[in-house]
Amino acid sequence: MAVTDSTREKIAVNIVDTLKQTITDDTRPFTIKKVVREPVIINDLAATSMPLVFVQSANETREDTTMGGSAITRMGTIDFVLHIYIKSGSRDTDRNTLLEIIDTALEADRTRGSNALDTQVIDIALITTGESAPYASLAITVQCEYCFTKGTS
Amino acid sequence: MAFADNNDLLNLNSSIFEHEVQDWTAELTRAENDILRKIQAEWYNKRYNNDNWDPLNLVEAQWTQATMYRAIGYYIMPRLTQWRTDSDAFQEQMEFYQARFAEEMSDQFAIGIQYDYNEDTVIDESEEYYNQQDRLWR
Repeated sequence: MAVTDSTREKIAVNIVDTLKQTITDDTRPFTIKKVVREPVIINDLAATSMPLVFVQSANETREDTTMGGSAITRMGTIDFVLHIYIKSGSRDTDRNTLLEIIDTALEADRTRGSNALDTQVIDIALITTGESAPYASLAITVQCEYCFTKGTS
Repeated sequence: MAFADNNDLLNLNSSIFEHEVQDWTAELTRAENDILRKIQAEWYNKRYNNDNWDPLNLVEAQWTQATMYRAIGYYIMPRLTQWRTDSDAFQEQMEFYQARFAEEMSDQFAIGIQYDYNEDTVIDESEEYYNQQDRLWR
Protein backbone atom coordinates (compact mmCIF):
# COMPACT_ATOMS: atom_id res chain seq x y z
CA MET A 1 0.00 0.00 0.00
CA ALA A 2 1.38 3.37 -0.97
CA VAL A 3 2.14 5.68 1.92
CA THR A 4 0.85 9.21 1.41
CA ASP A 5 2.23 12.28 3.10
CA SER A 6 0.67 13.06 6.47
CA THR A 7 -1.18 16.33 7.00
CA ARG A 8 1.67 17.34 9.29
CA GLU A 9 4.10 16.87 6.42
CA LYS A 10 1.83 18.67 3.96
CA ILE A 11 1.70 21.68 6.28
CA ALA A 12 5.49 21.68 6.60
CA VAL A 13 5.86 21.54 2.82
CA ASN A 14 3.38 24.39 2.44
CA ILE A 15 5.34 26.56 4.88
CA VAL A 16 8.57 25.90 2.99
CA ASP A 17 6.93 26.61 -0.38
CA THR A 18 5.35 29.79 0.95
CA LEU A 19 8.69 31.07 2.21
CA LYS A 20 10.42 30.10 -1.04
CA GLN A 21 7.95 32.20 -2.98
CA THR A 22 9.17 35.29 -1.13
CA ILE A 23 12.67 34.70 -2.59
CA THR A 24 11.47 35.72 -6.03
CA ASP A 25 10.00 38.98 -4.76
CA ASP A 26 12.49 41.40 -6.26
CA THR A 27 10.51 44.44 -5.17
CA ARG A 28 12.23 44.23 -1.79
CA PRO A 29 15.84 45.26 -1.38
CA PHE A 30 16.31 42.59 1.27
CA THR A 31 14.67 39.18 1.44
CA ILE A 32 15.16 35.47 2.13
CA LYS A 33 17.73 33.77 -0.12
CA LYS A 34 17.38 30.13 0.87
CA VAL A 35 14.88 27.88 2.68
CA VAL A 36 15.95 24.45 3.91
CA ARG A 37 14.59 21.65 6.07
CA GLU A 38 17.94 20.17 7.00
CA PRO A 39 20.18 21.80 9.60
CA VAL A 40 23.07 23.81 8.20
CA ILE A 41 26.50 24.78 9.43
CA ILE A 42 26.53 28.53 9.07
CA ASN A 43 30.28 28.73 8.60
CA ASP A 44 30.08 26.40 5.59
CA LEU A 45 27.39 28.41 3.82
CA ALA A 46 28.02 30.61 0.83
CA ALA A 47 27.62 34.29 1.57
CA THR A 48 25.02 34.36 -1.20
CA SER A 49 22.82 31.85 0.69
CA MET A 50 22.00 34.22 3.53
CA PRO A 51 19.52 35.21 4.84
CA LEU A 52 18.60 31.58 5.28
CA VAL A 53 15.57 29.99 6.94
CA PHE A 54 15.76 26.50 8.39
CA VAL A 55 12.27 25.07 8.89
CA GLN A 56 11.87 22.42 11.57
CA SER A 57 8.73 20.50 12.49
CA ALA A 58 8.65 20.57 16.28
CA ASN A 59 6.35 19.76 19.20
CA GLU A 60 2.77 18.67 18.67
CA THR A 61 -0.19 17.86 20.89
CA ARG A 62 -3.07 15.70 19.70
CA GLU A 63 -6.52 14.91 21.06
CA ASP A 64 -9.70 13.18 19.95
CA THR A 65 -12.54 15.41 18.84
CA THR A 66 -15.07 12.64 18.18
CA MET A 67 -16.01 9.48 20.07
CA GLY A 68 -16.70 5.95 18.93
CA GLY A 69 -16.58 4.41 15.49
CA SER A 70 -13.51 3.44 13.56
CA ALA A 71 -12.87 6.82 11.97
CA ILE A 72 -12.21 9.01 14.98
CA THR A 73 -11.36 12.60 14.13
CA ARG A 74 -8.40 14.04 15.98
CA MET A 75 -7.08 17.55 16.31
CA GLY A 76 -3.40 18.36 16.30
CA THR A 77 -1.63 21.53 17.36
CA ILE A 78 1.84 21.57 15.96
CA ASP A 79 4.70 24.04 16.27
CA PHE A 80 7.09 24.72 13.43
CA VAL A 81 10.27 26.54 14.38
CA LEU A 82 11.73 28.76 11.68
CA HIS A 83 15.40 29.45 12.38
CA ILE A 84 16.60 32.57 10.59
CA TYR A 85 20.29 33.21 9.96
CA ILE A 86 21.50 36.58 8.74
CA LYS A 87 24.85 38.03 7.82
CA SER A 88 24.57 41.76 7.67
CA GLY A 89 25.87 45.07 8.83
CA SER A 90 22.42 46.06 10.05
CA ARG A 91 21.44 42.89 11.79
CA ASP A 92 18.68 44.09 14.06
CA THR A 93 16.84 45.96 11.33
CA ASP A 94 17.26 43.11 8.84
CA ARG A 95 16.01 40.58 11.36
CA ASN A 96 12.86 42.60 11.89
CA THR A 97 12.42 43.00 8.13
CA LEU A 98 12.62 39.23 7.64
CA LEU A 99 10.17 38.65 10.47
CA GLU A 100 7.71 40.94 8.74
CA ILE A 101 8.24 39.18 5.38
CA ILE A 102 7.65 35.76 6.94
CA ASP A 103 4.64 36.83 8.97
CA THR A 104 3.02 38.48 5.95
CA ALA A 105 3.67 35.47 3.73
CA LEU A 106 2.24 32.98 6.20
CA GLU A 107 -0.81 35.15 6.90
CA ALA A 108 -1.78 35.13 3.20
CA ASP A 109 -3.20 31.63 3.64
CA ARG A 110 -3.74 30.55 7.22
CA THR A 111 -5.13 27.19 6.04
CA ARG A 112 -1.76 26.16 4.60
CA GLY A 113 -3.31 25.02 1.34
CA SER A 114 -6.48 23.69 3.04
CA ASN A 115 -4.43 21.41 5.27
CA ALA A 116 -4.80 23.40 8.50
CA LEU A 117 -7.54 25.17 10.39
CA ASP A 118 -5.34 28.05 11.43
CA THR A 119 -1.77 29.35 11.42
CA GLN A 120 -0.30 31.84 13.87
CA VAL A 121 3.13 33.15 14.73
CA ILE A 122 3.14 32.61 18.49
CA ASP A 123 6.71 33.21 19.58
CA ILE A 124 9.81 35.09 18.47
CA ALA A 125 13.06 34.45 20.28
CA LEU A 126 16.75 35.08 19.87
CA ILE A 127 18.58 31.81 19.22
CA THR A 128 21.83 33.10 20.62
CA THR A 129 22.18 36.27 22.56
CA GLY A 130 25.21 38.46 22.09
CA GLU A 131 26.19 37.04 18.70
CA SER A 132 29.30 38.43 17.17
CA ALA A 133 29.02 40.56 14.05
CA PRO A 134 28.13 40.12 11.27
CA TYR A 135 25.84 37.19 12.12
CA ALA A 136 22.40 37.22 13.68
CA SER A 137 19.74 34.61 14.23
CA LEU A 138 16.14 34.38 15.29
CA ALA A 139 13.70 31.57 16.04
CA ILE A 140 10.10 32.13 14.98
CA THR A 141 7.58 29.63 16.27
CA VAL A 142 4.60 29.11 14.00
CA GLN A 143 1.69 27.17 15.41
CA CYS A 144 -0.79 25.32 13.19
CA GLU A 145 -4.02 23.62 14.21
CA TYR A 146 -5.36 20.87 12.01
CA CYS A 147 -7.75 17.94 11.98
CA PHE A 148 -7.16 14.46 10.73
CA THR A 149 -8.77 11.05 10.85
CA LYS A 150 -7.16 8.64 13.27
CA GLY A 151 -4.64 6.46 11.48
CA THR A 152 -4.27 8.81 8.52
CA SER A 153 -2.36 11.69 10.08
CA MET B 1 31.63 36.18 -28.69
CA ALA B 2 31.81 34.27 -25.44
CA PHE B 3 34.65 32.03 -24.42
CA ALA B 4 32.51 30.20 -21.84
CA ASP B 5 28.93 30.13 -20.57
CA ASN B 6 26.94 28.86 -17.61
CA ASN B 7 26.72 25.34 -19.05
CA ASP B 8 30.50 25.14 -19.29
CA LEU B 9 30.71 26.13 -15.63
CA LEU B 10 28.15 23.51 -14.65
CA ASN B 11 30.14 20.82 -16.44
CA LEU B 12 33.28 21.85 -14.63
CA ASN B 13 31.79 22.34 -11.16
CA SER B 14 28.41 20.72 -10.59
CA SER B 15 27.74 22.64 -7.36
CA ILE B 16 28.37 26.08 -8.79
CA PHE B 17 24.65 26.90 -9.00
CA GLU B 18 23.78 25.65 -5.50
CA HIS B 19 24.39 28.96 -3.80
CA GLU B 20 21.29 30.94 -4.76
CA VAL B 21 22.93 32.52 -7.80
CA GLN B 22 21.47 31.21 -11.06
CA ASP B 23 23.52 33.15 -13.57
CA TRP B 24 27.29 33.71 -13.60
CA THR B 25 27.39 35.48 -16.98
CA ALA B 26 28.67 38.75 -15.51
CA GLU B 27 31.59 36.94 -13.84
CA LEU B 28 32.37 35.05 -17.05
CA THR B 29 32.37 38.29 -18.99
CA ARG B 30 34.79 39.89 -16.54
CA ALA B 31 37.04 36.83 -16.76
CA GLU B 32 36.95 36.93 -20.55
CA ASN B 33 37.89 40.60 -20.56
CA ASP B 34 40.81 39.85 -18.25
CA ILE B 35 42.05 37.16 -20.61
CA LEU B 36 41.67 39.35 -23.68
CA ARG B 37 43.65 42.05 -21.93
CA LYS B 38 46.39 39.60 -21.03
CA ILE B 39 46.60 38.19 -24.55
CA GLN B 40 46.79 41.66 -26.02
CA ALA B 41 49.31 42.98 -23.51
CA GLU B 42 51.53 39.92 -23.23
CA TRP B 43 51.50 38.83 -26.87
CA TYR B 44 49.76 40.91 -29.52
CA ASN B 45 51.06 44.34 -28.62
CA LYS B 46 54.59 43.02 -28.47
CA ARG B 47 54.31 41.51 -31.93
CA TYR B 48 51.98 43.77 -33.89
CA ASN B 49 50.53 47.23 -34.06
CA ASN B 50 47.87 47.28 -31.38
CA ASP B 51 45.58 49.35 -33.63
CA ASN B 52 44.80 46.18 -35.56
CA TRP B 53 43.95 44.06 -32.51
CA ASP B 54 40.64 42.27 -33.02
CA PRO B 55 39.65 39.75 -30.35
CA LEU B 56 37.16 38.19 -32.79
CA ASN B 57 40.16 36.69 -34.60
CA LEU B 58 40.93 34.48 -31.61
CA VAL B 59 39.55 30.94 -31.42
CA GLU B 60 36.98 30.94 -28.61
CA ALA B 61 37.39 27.28 -27.69
CA GLN B 62 41.08 27.78 -26.95
CA TRP B 63 40.22 30.05 -24.01
CA THR B 64 37.15 28.32 -22.59
CA GLN B 65 39.03 26.49 -19.86
CA ALA B 66 41.03 29.56 -18.84
CA THR B 67 37.88 31.70 -18.74
CA MET B 68 36.15 29.27 -16.40
CA TYR B 69 39.16 29.04 -14.10
CA ARG B 70 39.51 32.82 -14.07
CA ALA B 71 35.80 33.36 -13.39
CA ILE B 72 35.63 30.84 -10.56
CA GLY B 73 38.96 31.69 -8.97
CA TYR B 74 38.79 35.45 -9.18
CA TYR B 75 35.11 36.41 -9.27
CA ILE B 76 32.72 33.62 -8.27
CA MET B 77 34.42 32.18 -5.18
CA PRO B 78 35.13 35.65 -3.77
CA ARG B 79 31.39 36.30 -3.94
CA LEU B 80 30.59 33.04 -2.15
CA THR B 81 33.17 33.04 0.62
CA GLN B 82 32.39 34.55 3.99
CA TRP B 83 36.05 35.61 4.24
CA ARG B 84 36.57 33.87 7.54
CA THR B 85 40.02 34.30 9.01
CA ASP B 86 40.38 30.52 9.36
CA SER B 87 39.38 30.06 5.69
CA ASP B 88 36.45 28.11 4.28
CA ALA B 89 35.76 25.76 1.37
CA PHE B 90 35.27 28.68 -1.01
CA GLN B 91 38.62 30.25 -0.19
CA GLU B 92 40.30 26.89 -0.76
CA GLN B 93 38.58 26.53 -4.11
CA MET B 94 39.63 30.08 -4.95
CA GLU B 95 43.29 29.14 -4.51
CA PHE B 96 42.83 25.91 -6.46
CA TYR B 97 41.22 27.59 -9.46
CA GLN B 98 43.68 30.48 -9.48
CA ALA B 99 46.50 27.94 -9.75
CA ARG B 100 44.66 26.13 -12.57
CA PHE B 101 44.22 29.44 -14.37
CA ALA B 102 47.94 30.17 -14.19
CA GLU B 103 48.75 26.71 -15.55
CA GLU B 104 46.19 26.94 -18.32
CA MET B 105 47.39 30.34 -19.52
CA SER B 106 51.00 29.23 -19.57
CA ASP B 107 50.06 26.08 -21.47
CA GLN B 108 48.02 27.94 -24.08
CA PHE B 109 50.75 30.48 -24.65
CA ALA B 110 53.26 27.65 -24.98
CA ILE B 111 51.28 25.52 -27.43
CA GLY B 112 50.48 28.54 -29.58
CA ILE B 113 47.88 31.28 -29.70
CA GLN B 114 45.55 30.75 -32.63
CA TYR B 115 44.80 34.08 -34.26
CA ASP B 116 43.16 34.46 -37.66
CA TYR B 117 45.35 37.34 -38.74
CA ASN B 118 44.26 37.37 -42.39
CA GLU B 119 40.61 36.92 -41.37
CA ASP B 120 39.87 34.07 -43.78
CA THR B 121 38.18 32.04 -40.98
CA VAL B 122 40.87 29.40 -41.28
CA ILE B 123 43.73 29.02 -38.83
CA ASP B 124 46.72 27.75 -40.74
CA GLU B 125 50.08 26.87 -39.29
CA SER B 126 51.44 30.35 -39.78
CA GLU B 127 48.66 31.71 -37.57
CA GLU B 128 49.60 29.73 -34.47
CA TYR B 129 51.87 31.94 -32.47
CA TYR B 130 54.11 30.36 -29.89
CA ASN B 131 54.85 32.60 -27.00
CA GLN B 132 56.62 30.65 -24.28
CA GLN B 133 56.37 32.45 -20.98
CA ASP B 134 59.24 32.64 -18.58
CA ARG B 135 57.12 34.26 -15.94
CA LEU B 136 54.44 32.92 -13.66
CA TRP B 137 50.87 34.05 -14.36
CA ARG B 138 49.11 35.65 -11.47
